[in-house]
Amino acid sequence: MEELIDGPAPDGNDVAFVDEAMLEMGDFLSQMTDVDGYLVDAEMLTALTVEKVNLSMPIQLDLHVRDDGSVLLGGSPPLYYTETTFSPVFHQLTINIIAKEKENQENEWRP
Amino acid sequence: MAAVNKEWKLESFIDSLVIELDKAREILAVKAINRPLTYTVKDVGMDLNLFPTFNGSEVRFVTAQPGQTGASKLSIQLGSITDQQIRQTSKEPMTRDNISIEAIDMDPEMKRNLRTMGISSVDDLEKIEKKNVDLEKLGSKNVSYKNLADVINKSKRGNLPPVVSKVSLSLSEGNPVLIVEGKNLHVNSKFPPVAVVNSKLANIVASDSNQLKIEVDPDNMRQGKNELVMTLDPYAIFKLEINN
Repeated sequence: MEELIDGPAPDGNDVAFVDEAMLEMGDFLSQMTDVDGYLVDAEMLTALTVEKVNLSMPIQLDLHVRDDGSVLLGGSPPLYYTETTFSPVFHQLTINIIAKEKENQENEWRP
Repeated sequence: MAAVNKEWKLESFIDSLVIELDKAREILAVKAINRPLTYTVKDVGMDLNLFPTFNGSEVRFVTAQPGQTGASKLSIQLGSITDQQIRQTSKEPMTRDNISIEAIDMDPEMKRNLRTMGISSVDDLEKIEKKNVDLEKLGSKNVSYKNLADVINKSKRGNLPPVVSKVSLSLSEGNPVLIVEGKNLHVNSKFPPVAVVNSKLANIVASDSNQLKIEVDPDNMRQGKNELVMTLDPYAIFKLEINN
């Protein structure tokens, strides 16, 4: 939680969890990409589907370097909005989400 | 007081990010089972505020801390590629009989030089040697095939240590013959094994991975203790005491 809030210094110890105010990056991303997809207006009897979502937002990172050099990555949207002498460092996250035909699910993206 | 940010390698960061994205993708795939309309992540980008550092051999990064100004920006873009593209742009996975450069005990500078040239395994190196590439001309002054062959052979021998299970003495045409049995004895055809019995060179009449036959001068065999020093190759030497 290096750039976030006070906490026990992780130096010399392997850290197993990210800061409790944040999520592991995989959980964070899966929540950010959890699109319901349908916009329904009952009165107008119309429904819209979302075809793509382009998301760009500032995030706070919780980055720990383990003793073996590997990195534990956590993240969250900005946690504090109060103006202070030192602001937290915000990084920028961009995610492009597209609707998929169900039968194509097997060929999902892979970095 | 907040902890000071630690340095990290770009490779470690991307490894971690890819694992986390895979996790997100798996969660999405599970959600997709019960939903008529599903979504997938086409690409993910991250702009990081950080400070690069160079320690003389490699570049590392430190994430910017609150209050720090003048940070550099590193943009990482992970796009979706097909399995075919992965095959075209990636090296084949390491096979069991291949040896990673990382696993070989060699001079760190030599290891770094090889990594800079994209050589990560013994197979890579053999491919380059076949193409007759002069490594020294490429700027790797202390990298030569001879040096590398030595460390690689040593490492390969480390994976195949010789094991002696039985030593017996028999007579062949009146001369005593020592039969050494075991595993991984003579494994490198480039190096004929050499035997020294009681400080005198002995003649090896037959050798393979499981057995060595050493013809000994009858005058050289003593009653009681005899010493056999075997050099199987430059990386496997052992000494045995034989009671006659």
